[in-house]
Amino acid sequence: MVDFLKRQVHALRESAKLFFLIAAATLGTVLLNGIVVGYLVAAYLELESEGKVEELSVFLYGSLAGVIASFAIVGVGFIYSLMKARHGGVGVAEALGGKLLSEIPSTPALLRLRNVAEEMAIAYSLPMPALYVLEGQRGINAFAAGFTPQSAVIGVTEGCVELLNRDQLQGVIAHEFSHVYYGDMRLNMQLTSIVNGLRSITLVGDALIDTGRMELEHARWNSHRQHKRAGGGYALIVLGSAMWVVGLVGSSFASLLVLAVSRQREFLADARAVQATRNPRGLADALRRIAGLQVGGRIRISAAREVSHLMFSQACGRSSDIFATHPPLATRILALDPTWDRTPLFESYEELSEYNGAFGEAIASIGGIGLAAGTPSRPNSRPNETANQSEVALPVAVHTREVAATDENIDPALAGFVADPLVIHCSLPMLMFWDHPQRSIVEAIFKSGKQAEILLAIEQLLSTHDQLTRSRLLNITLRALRRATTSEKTATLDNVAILASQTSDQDWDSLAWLWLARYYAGAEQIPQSKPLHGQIDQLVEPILEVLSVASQIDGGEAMSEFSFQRGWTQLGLEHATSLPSDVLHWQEVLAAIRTLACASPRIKRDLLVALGCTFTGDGELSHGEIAFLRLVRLHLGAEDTDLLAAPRTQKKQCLASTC
Amino acid sequence: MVSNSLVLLVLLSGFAAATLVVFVLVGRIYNQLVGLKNLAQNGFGQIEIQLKRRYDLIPNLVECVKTYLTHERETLHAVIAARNQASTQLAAVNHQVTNPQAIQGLASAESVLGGALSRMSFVMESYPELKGNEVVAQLTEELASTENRIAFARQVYNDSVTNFNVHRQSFPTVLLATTLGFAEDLTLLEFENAAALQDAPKVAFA
Repeated sequence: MVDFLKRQVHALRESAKLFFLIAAATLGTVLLNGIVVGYLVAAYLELESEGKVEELSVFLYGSLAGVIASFAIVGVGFIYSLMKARHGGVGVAEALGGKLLSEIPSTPALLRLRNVAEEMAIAYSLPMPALYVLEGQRGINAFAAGFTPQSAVIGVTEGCVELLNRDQLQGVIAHEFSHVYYGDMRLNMQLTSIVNGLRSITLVGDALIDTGRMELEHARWNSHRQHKRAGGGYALIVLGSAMWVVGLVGSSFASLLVLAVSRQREFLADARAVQATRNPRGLADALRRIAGLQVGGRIRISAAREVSHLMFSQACGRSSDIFATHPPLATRILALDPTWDRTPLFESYEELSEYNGAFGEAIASIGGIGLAAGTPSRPNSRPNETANQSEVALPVAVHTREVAATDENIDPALAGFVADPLVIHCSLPMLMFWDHPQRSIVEAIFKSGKQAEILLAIEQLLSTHDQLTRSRLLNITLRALRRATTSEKTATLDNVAILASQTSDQDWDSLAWLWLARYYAGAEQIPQSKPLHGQIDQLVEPILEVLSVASQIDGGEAMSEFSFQRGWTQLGLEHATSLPSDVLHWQEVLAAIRTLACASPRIKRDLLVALGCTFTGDGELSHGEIAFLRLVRLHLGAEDTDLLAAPRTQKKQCLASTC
Repeated sequence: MVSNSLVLLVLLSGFAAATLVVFVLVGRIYNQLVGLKNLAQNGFGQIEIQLKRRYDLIPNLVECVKTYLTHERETLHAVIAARNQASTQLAAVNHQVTNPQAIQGLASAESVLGGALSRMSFVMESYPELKGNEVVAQLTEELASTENRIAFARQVYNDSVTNFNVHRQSFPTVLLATTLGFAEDLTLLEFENAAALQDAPKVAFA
């Protein structure tokens, strides 16, 4: 059990550290500004009076005056900003387009919302805040605003009311009550006012630059006798620029710190919410629900940007950098539930396919097939839903995140041994069948003589490495096979033929690997296909076969129908169920793939997307799935890539970047 | 002579100062105890409000489902009886947080009511047409919410009771608590639903 009280103490301590840093930044900026001003004034006076003044004392007094003036500027800016922000919670709610929820709500969902909020008011011993609903906002988000618990308001989006169940809604509302409880709205406003105060140094600098410019203009128009005035103008511009730079640097630094505070307060609110509800599950599920939603927590209203720090989850922008107001969703969920398996929550097939569509697009776009990545090509896709594909990570990332291995990370001696043309006929079958239940058939081929020794050595070598390294080695070995001599290829092909004769007709992934081996040995050709520009409806049969096979790789009976539907729903075809494995045969499947090779590039791309979705049902690409996907991709005319070598940028945390 | 009266003066003023300090300290302890006890009492008031709300909702719900559950008259009777009993007990408690017997009585009556209610909702599950009834759905939601409110109010109350008890038992308050009229710990409120829940409705094969 996670100690959520300790969490709160930790978050409070972290924000205390940040407060100290903010104070230091403010003080530092003010002092620096004072000293710069003092120095410039001293230098100017010395220049003007030609050395008649006492330099040091002018500098000291100038600095002192500068520091005092800076304090005054920051102070005035701070107070002005504070006054301006005092419009209370109702103002925020109305700016966001919220509608006040009446005492007696009209629909069951709204009644539930009011009840949950009243329950939480009791749990927190706080007065019941006014409730607002942001109608028409389909994302899941909520906010708290107002500077005292008495004047606080809580608002939720329509998506929040409609899509969350009671426990999840309770978690969200409790989180907002935590912000009220800890006075985070006032805190944030005060911190923001400090930043604005620092920014006003920049404003004063701006004003000085303008004045200096005007002096220069005057000097230019009113003849050349006003040298002195021109000199003063230049001095003012220099002084203003210096203040402008100091103010900008100081306020930028401070605003980054304020954002860090904001992220800490989110953790604090999450932990406090669990203490109040005694139920980490509800809150974690609400966050997972956001992760599973294409719109996530986004609010489509321009005013949302200004109050995004008050929200339940990231309302705009991305949540993985230092400019984010909220920690990444994945981090928050893991803090609530350390055993979380990194899956989002979905409500329906449609939502699922929206989410996975993006995954599939990512897979299809690696070494693409001639269509620009990100082109919305699905007939049923609405334009704005594909807009954020680039933010979605490949699901393989879950596994490969830590390793992020490239071929360079692999010991060259190991790769050199395994991919030695002389041992390929041994190592290749071993690598392909390593995790196969019938690995013994490989061992049976090499029963005797020198081959057995080599096999033993390879087995020992490989057993000390992980699955990912083996996949890399397999890829290196395949490429080495292409460069091997004819006799070496023949030896490999002989072994492949033996293996093929012992593999069942429905062992799809083994068959796919064997096909790839033959292809790299030059024994298989991809027939040149003439593109026929037909409609996708004419290709239903082959697509059905290919997707059925894809769904059967690496999954039990129960999962395979689910995986199939994930892919099938991408294509916008009529409803269908997957074919059972006993009506499918490898040669027919190959024929189906060849038929699909004649489709138009657009259909090919859609097919790859669907295939990607089918394979990613379990959140990762397995050994066998990679083989089949590579086979299909080769036939469809995409270049063959080791699919594990997807661009690094797409390999970030699975969820961190979706919301 | 002068020095003697000076000594007396110093002694007297020292004594006065010490008395003042003791007075302030005792006053502080007393005020803290009063504050904490009132907080707990306030928490209990919140529970009472929610319990009353619950007792008001139950007859409405029973009235609504009565037409559907004609064969479950016994279950409904049990609910009403338990509700009446609990209501009487709540009246007996009458804001007295320090009366353990009264609170115990309320707790056990609540347990019985909880059991009867869960049996009723179990029975209601097997009448799908009940789910379609809007009024019943609304009442069920209200009842569920009220149960949550009671739970949260109890949580708050128990937290404040623990707070008071810890404060009362710690040094130096413990020396003075009895003298100041805070001899008793406050009672935590536990509703033991477990026993009643195990008593599931019997399934009869006719």
